[in-house]
Amino acid sequence: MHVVMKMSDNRDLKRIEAKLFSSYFQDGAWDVMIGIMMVTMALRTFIDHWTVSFLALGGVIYVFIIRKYLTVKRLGYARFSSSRKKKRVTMFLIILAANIVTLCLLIASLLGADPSFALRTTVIAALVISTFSIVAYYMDYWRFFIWGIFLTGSILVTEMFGLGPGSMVSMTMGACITIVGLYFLYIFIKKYPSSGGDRD
Amino acid sequence: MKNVSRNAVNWSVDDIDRMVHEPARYMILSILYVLDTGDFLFIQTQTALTKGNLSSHISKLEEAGYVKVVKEFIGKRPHTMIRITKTGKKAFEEYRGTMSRIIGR
Repeated sequence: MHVVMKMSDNRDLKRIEAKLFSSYFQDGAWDVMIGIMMVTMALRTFIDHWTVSFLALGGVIYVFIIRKYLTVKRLGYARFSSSRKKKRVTMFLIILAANIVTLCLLIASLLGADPSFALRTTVIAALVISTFSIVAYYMDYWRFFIWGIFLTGSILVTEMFGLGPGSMVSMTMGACITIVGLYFLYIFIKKYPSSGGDRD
Repeated sequence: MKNVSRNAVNWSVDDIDRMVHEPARYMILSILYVLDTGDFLFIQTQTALTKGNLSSHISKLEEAGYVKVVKEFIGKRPHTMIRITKTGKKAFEEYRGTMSRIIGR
């Protein structure tokens, strides 16, 4: 199906807004970014050099380039209403709170507090899955929820079986997410051919 | 005609805003209603209307004062940005209200 809307659609305006907003995620750019980040995190285990961390930046640069030079040129440009901005602020505040909890855990462990294995694993898993779920909900980007489960799974494997197996799982899942993202990019390019720079 | 319609089904064809009633224009207004603003290409990709068809409907909506078309530059590229006006929003809401009333929802 080429269009987001059809004449016969039930005109639920909120649903239309969500569809329009999520149309920007059809390019798979964020999927590739998450995939690259997971692979990079895992690579850090095997290649212990700080420069590897910079590979993660590749994912962010990829999103920037794809959005600027491909997505907007093919899909068009839209500014969303204030309700969408409120959603973004709420999402930002919730993620900030989750990060503060993570930071507290880190500080506590640096100060010598050693939480039990079960508690640490549960808290980390809950933080990751809740953060991804919140982003998925507020951004109307439901693949993010699945990627959250993938990341949580790799964290649990790391906690239970150690860094080696955990990193292997993380790399595999990251690679899968990247491939899915690239597949979505392929579909996007086919679905929205270039307008050849003629926007009007 | 008007009285006959009103007596029989309790609404008149004149109650319906034909500018909004046309399916393509209704689709365009639905999109613009939930956006702050969108460019021509975005509306086109979302409606799958041809360029000429979309342009024609946008012109009609602009003449009716339902949308405002602004040419602006984003970076170095010209964009035809389209925004729904207050009149357009009101007309769209009234149309939805009328249709809901007619079909008894």
